[in-house]
Amino acid sequence: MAPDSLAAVVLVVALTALVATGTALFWDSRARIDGRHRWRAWIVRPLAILLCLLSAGGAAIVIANRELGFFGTWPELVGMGPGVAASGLDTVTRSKTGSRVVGFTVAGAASRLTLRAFAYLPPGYDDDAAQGVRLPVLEMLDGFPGSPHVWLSTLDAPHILDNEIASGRMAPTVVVFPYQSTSGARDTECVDAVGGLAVDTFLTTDVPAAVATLFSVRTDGASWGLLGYSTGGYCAVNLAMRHPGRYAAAASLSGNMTPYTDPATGDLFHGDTNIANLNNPLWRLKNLKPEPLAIYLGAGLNDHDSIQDIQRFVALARPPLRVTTAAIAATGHTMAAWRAFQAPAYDWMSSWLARPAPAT
Amino acid sequence: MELTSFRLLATAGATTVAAVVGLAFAWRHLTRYLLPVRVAAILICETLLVLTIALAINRAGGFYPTWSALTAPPPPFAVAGPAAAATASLRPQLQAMVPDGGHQGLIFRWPGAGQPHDPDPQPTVWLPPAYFQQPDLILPVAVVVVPSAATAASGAWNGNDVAPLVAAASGCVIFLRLGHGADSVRFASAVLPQLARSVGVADHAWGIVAVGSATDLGRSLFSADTLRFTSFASVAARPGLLATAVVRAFAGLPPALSPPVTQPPAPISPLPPVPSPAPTRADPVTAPLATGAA
Repeated sequence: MAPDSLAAVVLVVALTALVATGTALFWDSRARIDGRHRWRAWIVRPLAILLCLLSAGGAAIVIANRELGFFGTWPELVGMGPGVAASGLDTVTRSKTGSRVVGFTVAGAASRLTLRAFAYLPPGYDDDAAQGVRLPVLEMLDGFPGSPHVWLSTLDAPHILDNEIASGRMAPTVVVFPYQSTSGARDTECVDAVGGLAVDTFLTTDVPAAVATLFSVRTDGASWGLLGYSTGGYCAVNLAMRHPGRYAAAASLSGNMTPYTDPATGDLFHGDTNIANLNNPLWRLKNLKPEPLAIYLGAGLNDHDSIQDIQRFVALARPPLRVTTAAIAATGHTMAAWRAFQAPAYDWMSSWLARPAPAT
Repeated sequence: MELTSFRLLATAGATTVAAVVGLAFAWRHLTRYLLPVRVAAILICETLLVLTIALAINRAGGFYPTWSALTAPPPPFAVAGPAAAATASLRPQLQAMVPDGGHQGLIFRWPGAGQPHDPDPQPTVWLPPAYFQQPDLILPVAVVVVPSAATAASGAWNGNDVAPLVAAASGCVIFLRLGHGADSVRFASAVLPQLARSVGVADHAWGIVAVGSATDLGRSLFSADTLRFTSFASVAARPGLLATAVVRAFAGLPPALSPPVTQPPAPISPLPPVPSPAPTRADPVTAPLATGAA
C-alpha cells in the first residue's frame, strides 16, 4: 500500500478515530475499577494524549502527502533514503503511446553517492527505426520536500511529455528524474556541501555518465537541459550556470534564486563565503562573466517571493545569457502552478536543445 | 481575512486553545450516553490543531498566498502561442512562388534588404519543402557567411545555384555575403531579425557557418547578436566542404517544431537595488536583458 493511496488515507483516519474513541472510552475505566491503582492513570492518560497527537499528526502528513504527492514510498515519507535497486533497468510504467518510465541506480564514481533515478523514454525509443539515433536529454529536479515521484505521479509529467512530443512541439527527448538527497528530510539544494554530500557533482557528472551508458542519448552540452520547480528550480538555474558547457538551457518554475539556509538544509557552506557565492545565481550574474545559456523563469503572479527573484534575475542578466519569463494567475507556490507551466516549459526547452541526431 | 494573515493564524490558534480547554472542563460530564460527544470533541480538537499548524506552515512558506490559490480551479493549461507562420508577411508571396506545393523547396533573394555600398546586399534564402507542406512548423536557421567577393571556386555558392548545398539541410539556410568592416556586420544584424519575422522561421538558436576568410566576419556577427546565435563553425574555402558543414550545423540546432504553448510573460517591474550578498569585484551592471514571452 503506497503512502499516497486512498487506502492509506482511510487507514490513518480510521486509526485516528480509533485512538480518539479508545481515549474517550477508557480514560476513566482504570480509576473506576480499582481506586488503588489510580497512579496508573498518570501514565496511561498522557500516553493516550500523545497517541491522539501522533495519530492526528500522522493522518495530516499522509493526507497532505496524498494531496501534494511528495513521496511514493513509506521510507521516504518518514525521512529515510530512497534506497537502491540492482543494476540495470526496471520498467516502472508503460503508456499506451509507447513511452515508458524505467528505474535505474546511479553509482556515482565522482560524488560517491549511490541513488535511484528514473528515465522517461519517449514513444518509438525502442523501435528499429530509432536505433542509432541519439536523443537530447532533460534532467528534472524536484522541490523540497519532494522526490521524483512528484514529477512522475502528481504532476503527471510522462503524460504531458507524451502530448508535447506527439504534437510536434517537443522533440523526442530522454527525460531523467534523479533523486537529489540520501534522505527525504534533508534539503541539499543540489550543491556540493562543504564537508557534506556532493549532490552537484552527482547531478552534473555521475547522472550524465550513467545516462550516457544506459540510453541512446547525445552527450554534447548543446543537447542537455535542466528543469525544476521550487527548490528544484533554483537547482536547475544554479547547476546550469555553474556548468555552462554541460547544459544549454535551464527552466525554473517558482524557483528561488539564492540557496536556502534553514533547519532542513543545515549549514551547507560552513562559512565558506566563496563557495556560497558561487552557488548564488544572483551573485554570479553580478560578479562573473555571463554564460551563453538560455533560462526560463516562470511563477504564479501571487507567488511574491518567486516573482521578486525573477525580477532580480532579469535586472542583472546580460547577454549572452538569454532569459524568458512567464507568469500565471493566482496559483501560489503550488502544484497547480507547476502543472500549468509544464507544457510551455517543455516546449521552450526543446526549442533550445539540439535535435535528435544519428550516432557518429 | 487573508489566508496568510496573522489574524487568521491567531484566530485559529485561539479557537484551538478554547476547544481544548472547553473539552478539559466538560470532560467529566461527557460520560455514558455522551461518550460519542467526547470522541467527536477529541477529533475536533485534533483537526483544529492540525489546521493551525498548517496555517502556520503556509504563512511561513507562502505556498497558498490567497484563498483563491487554495480554492480556485487550476488555471488554463496553457495558451497557444501565435504561430510564427501566421505573422509572416512574406509567406503568401512565397506560397505563390511554388505552385507545385513546394516539393522542391524554394530559393529566393530576400527583397527586404538593401545596402547602397554592398555589391550583393540581398541575402539568398533556402526554404525546405517542409516550410510549404507544414506551414505551422517553426524552422531552425543556419546562416552561411562568405566574403562579398567569394566565388564558387573559393567555397561559396554559384549565384543562385545553392541547391547542391542545401539538399540535406533540414531547415532554413540564409546565404549572406558580407563586406569587410563593422558596418557590414551591423547591417546584417539588423536585417536578419526582419528576415526571420517576414519569412516566419525560428527567432533564436541559430547557427553560423563562416567560409574561409569570412571567419572573423562570422564571429563578429555571432558576437553582435548572442541572443539569436547559439552555434558557430568555420569551414575552409574549398569547393565541396560547405554542404557538409551546413548539415553539421543543423545537427547542433533544435529541430523544426510546431508552435509552442506558452504562458504570458511575467510582469517585470522596477525593483529597488538588490542587496549584494557579498562584496563585488566586477563591473557595474548597466543594461538589463531584453525579455520575451515563451
